[in-house]
Amino acid sequence: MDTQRLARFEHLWETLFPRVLGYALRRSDAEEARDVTSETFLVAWRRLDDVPRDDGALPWLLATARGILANRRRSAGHGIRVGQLLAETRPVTSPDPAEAVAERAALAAAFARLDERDRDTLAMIAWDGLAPREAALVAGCSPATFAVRAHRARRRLAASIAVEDATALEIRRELS
Amino acid sequence: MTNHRPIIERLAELDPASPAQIAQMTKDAEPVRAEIMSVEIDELASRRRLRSRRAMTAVAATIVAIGLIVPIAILLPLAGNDATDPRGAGAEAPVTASDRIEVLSPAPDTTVTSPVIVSGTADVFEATVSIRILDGTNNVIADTFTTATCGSGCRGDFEAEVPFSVSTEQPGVIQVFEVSAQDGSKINVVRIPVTLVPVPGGQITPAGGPPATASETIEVLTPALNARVSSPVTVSGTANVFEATVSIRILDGTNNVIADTFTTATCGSGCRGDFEVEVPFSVGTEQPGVIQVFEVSPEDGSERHMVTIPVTLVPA
Repeated sequence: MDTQRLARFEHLWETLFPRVLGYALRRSDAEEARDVTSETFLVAWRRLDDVPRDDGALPWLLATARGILANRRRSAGHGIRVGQLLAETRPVTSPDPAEAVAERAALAAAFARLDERDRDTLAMIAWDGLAPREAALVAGCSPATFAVRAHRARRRLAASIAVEDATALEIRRELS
Repeated sequence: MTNHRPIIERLAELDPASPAQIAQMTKDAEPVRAEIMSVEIDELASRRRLRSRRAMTAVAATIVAIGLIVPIAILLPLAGNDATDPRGAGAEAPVTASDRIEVLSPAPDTTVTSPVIVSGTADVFEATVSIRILDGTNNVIADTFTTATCGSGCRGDFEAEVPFSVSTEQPGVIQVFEVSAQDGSKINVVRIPVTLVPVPGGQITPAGGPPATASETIEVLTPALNARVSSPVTVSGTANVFEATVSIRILDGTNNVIADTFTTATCGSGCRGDFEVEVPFSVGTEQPGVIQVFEVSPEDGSERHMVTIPVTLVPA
């Protein structure tokens, strides 16, 4: 076995497995995320020569995971569920728990109101930690197109938060 | 509530994937790494070992389907079509992605009717993506091409609506490939085994075509074909269309547009959602009419996936 090949795959696994797994977890349940990530790295192993070096590797892997998820979703007959598990998200620490809870609830509700593409666009930036150029590669569009999508998604999230604010304020009052 | 922190920063705190969960699952996946690295390159069967018991069922179904198609592909070679394919001759398995072409739809082993939407991403010479459909006896029953949004060094999206005609339900293969700029051979071939199904009553065509309650992406549940409808008519169904926007038009007996509206499905751009809208119209006398349900192409504004429902329009 080619030791360089082994070393390269090991390096990819060590550095990027958690990133790919995180991407899958945000878009599916844990069991499916595990399968999708394994399958993504199997593709990477089989096509290691095609995996870009350095910074290009992560977008390549995520784009592969995205395609695998999409195929599974098509088979199952529904779309990618970005952040559907928001209700079960981990708690945040805050000096003012009541305010934090209300804020989180409002933001989560506002996010949930967005359409799937907006959620996916924002998730790639906020959760997957991708630079716009990387996210564009994953989404299969140009960086300019992605920038426009991200701008619009942010704007729509801000508008959606404004709608949720009144509700959040009431929740805060009830909790205080 | 006042919070001036950037939205993205606040949203980051809602990340549904916690570092602890990722760390634990990464640790648990260690045996998978060793398993992957023991896989001989191009040994497709190894995929099976990596999947959960639940996924195993799906894989088994796929293999059975391949088993039905592959013998045909082997016994009746594709007339030299694949001789130049660097991935190797013969269609051993569905290949949804080659180096340069990834097909997102249709998925392998799905049932397709004409026209089938073939879409994906490609980085090919001059952005030209070639598409062929082969029937159960490996005859080429559709041969066309489309242009990706980018090419010759950058990856672009492509989507083509490929009409075909079959008289009976049968296995088939959709091939998506690049024609080599060097020697004109087929390269980067992607093969999607599918089941080709004839469209009842003939092939669906754009406006003015024969009646049909469903196209590849839009299915109309109400009103039924030849129903008597009065204003407002409830048009409902399911659709998987760009930005979930479903367009609806009513034509009267002289083909005048007497209603023109749109509605939003519960899901779109890659997922199927429900839609239902009440469309008001006005006619002076009872007359034949047509309800058209379609998608407006994001690329060029053209009307596509047209479903045409002939009805009788009755004054309110």
